Amino acid sequence: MSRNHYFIGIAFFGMINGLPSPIFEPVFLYTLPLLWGPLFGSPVLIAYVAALMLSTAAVILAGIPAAIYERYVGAKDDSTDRSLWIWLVGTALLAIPAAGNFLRFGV
Amino acid sequence: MAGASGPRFLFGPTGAIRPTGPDDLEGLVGTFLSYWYYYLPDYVLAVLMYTVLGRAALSLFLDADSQNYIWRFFCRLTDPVISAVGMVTPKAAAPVVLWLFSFVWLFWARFALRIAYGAAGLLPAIGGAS
Repeated sequence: MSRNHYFIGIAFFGMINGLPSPIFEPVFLYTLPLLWGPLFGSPVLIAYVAALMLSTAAVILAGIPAAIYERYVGAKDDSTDRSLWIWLVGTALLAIPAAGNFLRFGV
Repeated sequence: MAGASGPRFLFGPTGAIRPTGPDDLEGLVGTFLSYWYYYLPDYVLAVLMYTVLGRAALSLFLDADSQNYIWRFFCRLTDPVISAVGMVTPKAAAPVVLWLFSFVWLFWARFALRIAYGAAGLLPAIGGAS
C-alpha cells in the first residue's frame, strides 16, 4: 500500500472522530470559554474548532504507539510501513465509538 | 474569555466556585490576582499555543534558517515543546504538521487544566462577583 493511502485512511478515521464523536458535546461546552475571545464569540465557529481538535487528537493519540514502535526498531529518518500501519489501525480503533453516529448522520 | 454576556451555563453551581467577599480585588486584574494559580499556567500554555500557530503561519513566508528576529524568537520559544511532541509523533509527519500537532497538544493541556481546576471548584465565576 502506498504511503498516501495510509495518510488518506488516517485522515478519514480522524474525520469520523470529529462532529460524530460521542464526546463532542462536553468537549464543545468546555471549549467555549477557552476560545470565546479568539474566535469572536461565535459558537458555530467554536463548534467546528472543537470538532477539529477532537479529530486531530485522535490522529495524535493513535500516532503515539507508532512513534514508540519507530523508536523501538530504531527508525532514523522516516516512518516504516509497519509504523504507518499501526498509526492507521490505532486511528480506526479510536473511531469505533463515533462510527454509529457517523453512519447515522454523516459528518 | 467570556464577558458578562458570556456562556455562564458552562460553570458549576455557585457553591462549587471559590467564595469571594467584598474585600476581594475587583475587576479583571483582581480576578487574575485572586485566581493566579489557574490563570498563570493557562496564560503560559496559551502563549506557547499561539506562538506555535504563529510559527506555522510565518513558515509560509520565511525559510527554516531565516535570520528574521521574530522567527528566531518564535523558534526559541517553541522548540522545547515541538521536540517533546516530536518524541511521540511518527517521523512521517512533516515539520509543519508537527507544529500543528503541538498546537493541538497545548490546546488539550489547557482543556485538561480547566477540567482539573473546575473539578476542584477553583475556577473563577465568569462575569460573577469576582
